Amino acid sequence: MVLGGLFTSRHQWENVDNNQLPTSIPEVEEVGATSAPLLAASYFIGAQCKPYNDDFMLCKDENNGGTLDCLKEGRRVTRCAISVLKDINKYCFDEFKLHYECLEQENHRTGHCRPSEGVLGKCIFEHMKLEKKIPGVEKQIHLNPSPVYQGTSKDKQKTAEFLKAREVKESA
Amino acid sequence: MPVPFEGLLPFAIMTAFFGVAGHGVQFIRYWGNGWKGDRFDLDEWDEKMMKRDFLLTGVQRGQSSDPIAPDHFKTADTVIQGYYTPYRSQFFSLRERLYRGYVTGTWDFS
Repeated sequence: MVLGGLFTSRHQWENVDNNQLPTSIPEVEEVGATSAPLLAASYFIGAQCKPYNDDFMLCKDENNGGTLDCLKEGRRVTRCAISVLKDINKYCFDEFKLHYECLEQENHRTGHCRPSEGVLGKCIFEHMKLEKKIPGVEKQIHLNPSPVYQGTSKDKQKTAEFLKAREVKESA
Repeated sequence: MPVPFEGLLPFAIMTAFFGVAGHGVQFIRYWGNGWKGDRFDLDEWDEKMMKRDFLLTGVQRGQSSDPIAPDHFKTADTVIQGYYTPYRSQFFSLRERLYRGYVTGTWDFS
């Protein structure tokens, strides 16, 4: 359907909702991190915010989806995620950037970015005491010393350069 | 009996031009993605997140690690609504609009 858009577009329109949110719903700042940084931070957000996330999901279960009933719990989830992202940016900005730039190059495949993931995980554990733990699996793939996908050579090289630069900086 | 090199010249030329075409396309795609590799094998979630990335950064394939979104992001999302109709082009086609005077401005609702 090459010309489909031309013919169907007269039956489609952009939905604009000009109504403001009711004042009873307080403002909350939205998470500003994009997909790759969010993926890099996801397990740490999960580790830190587990109670809030569980509370939110429980609320949704109990309230048949809970679009309006779980706004309070949802705001807590958002605020918690923002706080974790703030901390990561504060303590591990360079490692974070190294990892999410690798993810962005490698189609968001974590298996192709293991070296930088290890560096990021180490930094976050040192500063924030958070650990990546994949739930519901026998073996934690990111802790496997010889996985099938060991990361691309590009990522290995960039991570080695990063570590070397940091050593030079620390020794100087 | 060795093949004279003149006999292999066409193959060298063919290989070279296929190579130029393929690597050229690859280079243009890499450049167009903002010096990043292509995204592939995308599901609905990935598409959704890429749309969100665009709304946050303002460029395709842009990334940012800011914890807090800019204010305009809260109202940036739009939804395309539509309804199904079997008469896609039968009523209100360009010909009909011309006939009704929608295009020239001489409206005729009679």
